[in-house]
Amino acid sequence: MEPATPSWLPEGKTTAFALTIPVDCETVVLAEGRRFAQHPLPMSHQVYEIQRGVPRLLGMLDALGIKATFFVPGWTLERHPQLVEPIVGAGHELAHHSYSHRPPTDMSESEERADFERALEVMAAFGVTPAGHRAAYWSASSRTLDIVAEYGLRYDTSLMGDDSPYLVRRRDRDVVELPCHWILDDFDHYAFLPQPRIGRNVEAPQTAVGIWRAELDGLRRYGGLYQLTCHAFLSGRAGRTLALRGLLEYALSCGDVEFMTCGEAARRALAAPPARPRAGVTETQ
Amino acid sequence: MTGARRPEAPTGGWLAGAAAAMVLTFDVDGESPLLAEDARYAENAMLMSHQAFGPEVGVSRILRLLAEYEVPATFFVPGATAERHPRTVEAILAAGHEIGHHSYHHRPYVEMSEAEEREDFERALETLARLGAHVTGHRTPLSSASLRTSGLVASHGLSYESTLMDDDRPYMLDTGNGDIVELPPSWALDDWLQYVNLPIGESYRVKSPAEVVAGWRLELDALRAEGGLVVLTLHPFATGRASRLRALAGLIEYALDAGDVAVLSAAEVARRARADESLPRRSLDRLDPRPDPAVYPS
Repeated sequence: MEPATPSWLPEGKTTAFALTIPVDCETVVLAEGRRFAQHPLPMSHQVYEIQRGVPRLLGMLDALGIKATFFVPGWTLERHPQLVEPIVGAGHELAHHSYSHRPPTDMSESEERADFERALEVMAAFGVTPAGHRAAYWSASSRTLDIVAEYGLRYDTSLMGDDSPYLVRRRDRDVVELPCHWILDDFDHYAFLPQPRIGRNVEAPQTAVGIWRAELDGLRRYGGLYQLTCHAFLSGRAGRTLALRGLLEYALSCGDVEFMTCGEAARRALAAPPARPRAGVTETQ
Repeated sequence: MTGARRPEAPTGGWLAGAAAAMVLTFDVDGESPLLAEDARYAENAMLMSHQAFGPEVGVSRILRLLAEYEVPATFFVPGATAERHPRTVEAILAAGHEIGHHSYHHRPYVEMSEAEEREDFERALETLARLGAHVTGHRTPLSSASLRTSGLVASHGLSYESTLMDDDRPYMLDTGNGDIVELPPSWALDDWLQYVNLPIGESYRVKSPAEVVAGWRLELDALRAEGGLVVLTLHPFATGRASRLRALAGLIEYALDAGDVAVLSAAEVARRARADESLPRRSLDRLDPRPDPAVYPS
């Protein structure tokens, strides 16, 4: 079977590869409880990405000529403003990832809206108007896509209803959903902290990348969006970046895989929507 | 800051021309972590024997391995374990290896009062000194440092700690109580999550030693391209098991064959790092973000 080119991809391409890099920093730990600010070990573990993880990943992307999408919570941008210029200046996309990295599913509507707006304000102060949004922990509430539509963002990437982009109609607007999946998340392979308890498993990088490569090859047969999520505090460790580089080099060598930012994937999906439009989460429940 | 395949191994400085440094650290916990959690575990003979395997069998096997390859190592021993297994401490010292401070009780410092933490810290120092160890470094048990711990390390005249995880090379830590060297470990280089499985509390899936060591070797290779520090954190009750120790032997052999990896004790890396003024100096204060309760209400 020769897979056809999906409507939204360039001729001859089967798969869009969107590398997404959350830079959560301390927010992941603070969202588990404010008291953990008094625990220097988890704080140190999270700021690794400021010292090493982000610069190492940026260097690798530069060497390969790949543009990625960085999701950075507003709180993190305020605390580590030096993050912005190396990401944006190198032509990568900076996208909305909440202000506090607290899960919207645990918030009231007014809390969720206030957190969303505050992140937009912080990004605006850096001159960034985000094209898209990813909910903290992918924990979108039933309201999240309404808010994304209301503020005019082009895409969301928190839902898992397909492995191609799909349109969700909210507030009389089409929001592109760029679906994600746990298979393609480094958190399950690499994340661990004893206190607060985060993650439960640390795999060898070769094992994680083996799983990711199998999914890439599978998706090349069906056609779709390969959205890989690599946290800078996890995949920014030296051996893991090296293993990730091997995967990216493999994808570059395939010929039918097109690298793009999430913003670009969303733009394409809006212009030539994929064949299987979805009604959206609420409507299908 | 470069792609991992663009070598820029620094010459001189703390690496003295090597591409990377590797430190083998062994946390000789023995029975202490379980007894600290619940004294009733003393009545569980299986658990006690499982933990005693570390100091009683694992360490002697590890010492033979280190002698075979003529490489140094650092053993972090809780005071309570040292008192329970004094001959293990003697054997480590007799083989010329470093003993480091790893608390007395192996209880989480972050959950102690200031007085409790200080008492535990000093009791461990006294215990190790009485057993003849010259201690210059500390690792907090259970990765449970408090905001006071590094200051205790500095004020007691120790040279370094190996606890915080924000880098993969040494740096100077301004504790507010004096400067110490930080030698950062990493969960990616820790055998606990790979091998430890007990029918109580937290357990992890037991992995194949070949797979585990392949991951560590990749980290070593990547850090060789950057002039990094590989701090392996190994537990004799876990890594002391036969197949795992053979896999570790393979990693040591690989590092030695590479020709550009300096296998050093933690104390030696700290000594070199202190002399290297190019290393960054960072404050402990930067790890306390003082979050706004309005943003993080709970």
